[in-house]
Amino acid sequence: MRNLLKLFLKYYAVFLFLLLEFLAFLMLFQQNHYHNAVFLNSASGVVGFINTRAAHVVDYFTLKKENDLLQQENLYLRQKLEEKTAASAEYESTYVDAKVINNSVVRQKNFITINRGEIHGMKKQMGVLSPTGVIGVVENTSPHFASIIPIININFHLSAQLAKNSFYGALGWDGQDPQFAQLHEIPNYVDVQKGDTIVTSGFSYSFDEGKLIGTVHSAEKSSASAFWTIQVKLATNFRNINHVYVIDRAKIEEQKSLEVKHD
Amino acid sequence: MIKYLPKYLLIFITCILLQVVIFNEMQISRFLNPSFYVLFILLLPFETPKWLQLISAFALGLIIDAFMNTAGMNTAAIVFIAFLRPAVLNLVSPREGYEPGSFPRIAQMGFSWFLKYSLILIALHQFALFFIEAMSFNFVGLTLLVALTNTIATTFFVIVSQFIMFKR
Repeated sequence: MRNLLKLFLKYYAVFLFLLLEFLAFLMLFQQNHYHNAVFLNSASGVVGFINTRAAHVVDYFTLKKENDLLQQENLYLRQKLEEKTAASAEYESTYVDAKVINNSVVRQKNFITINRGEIHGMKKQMGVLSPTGVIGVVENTSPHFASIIPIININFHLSAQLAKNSFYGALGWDGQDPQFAQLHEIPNYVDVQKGDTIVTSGFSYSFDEGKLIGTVHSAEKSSASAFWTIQVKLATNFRNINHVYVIDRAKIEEQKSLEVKHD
Repeated sequence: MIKYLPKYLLIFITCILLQVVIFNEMQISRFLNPSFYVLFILLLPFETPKWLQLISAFALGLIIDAFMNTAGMNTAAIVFIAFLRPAVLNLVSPREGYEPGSFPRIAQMGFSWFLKYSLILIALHQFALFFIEAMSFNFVGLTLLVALTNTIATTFFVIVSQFIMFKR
């Protein structure tokens, strides 16, 4: 027993090292599987506060760009208004505007934090749009902040379709270039041309059908599989997103509860 | 030892703030994404007990991970180099050993010693970090390249910080 204790004292640093690494990897794997279990993330209060301060500093350097974006945004809103008055109110969604307070594009698991949280009605799985296209889905919420898993996160998956013929597939990101995502599972007998528009399919809980994701940059047929390999040029430039819209789909809870009954 | 506590607490907080407010906001490219915060571990006094190095690295990693939304990733990498630091210090020790009361800084140990010391530890950190991030060897070439360029970038900023922080 005494020898065991001696051994332990001699090599305590190794044991401590192994223990701490074990904890670190535990957190790492938990984040991948159950996002809820993460207690420290950018949606938590203190971190959110400091990120807000940092965002304020950066704001000054991007005023010019911000103006241009606001202009685009006006345009978007005007179009939206027209659509709204024209279309039937059959499946109504409301939009909540939010400001990005933390954003990353250079990692494989990128995240975005916004300054809207539970008290503004943020819930998990809500879709997030920029003035130019789809951004991602709400992943975690706190009272005042929410973190978003964007398209450019290797864990992100979304059902997407070709606007012209409604063939749908799975959109994902390979962790390489934040300008491009990949669309899988489109059968190779479907006509796909460079420049074709890719939109959301309406099979997800997060987005209405027809939200712009991007355009086909290149499409390759491989002899080994029956599917296209499609590179999608994303409509959103993830490097300079500042203002986003979160979609609050009014009737989605009803749809969900109905569908759960089938399981 | 205890008399250094306020000073190192200040370095701890400074490293975190610089990382979060400046380096995390840079977002220029995957190849230029430095982990400046490792500076804290590099600067710890030579005679820091091992447990303290490990625990402070763990705390530093946790906080950085919270800001980056990378639960555990930076923690694993920084604890890894905190564990290897005594061995690296042995490896690069001057012939007559470390003088009592000296610190691992350019001003005291010289430029070439500091470059060798920080380059080894930063390289270990970056390669650990980016392989944990990739979690596979699918893009092994790219991961190696990202780790390499970021090792250079991090070392550059760490060395520059030496001239700013400890000018006197």
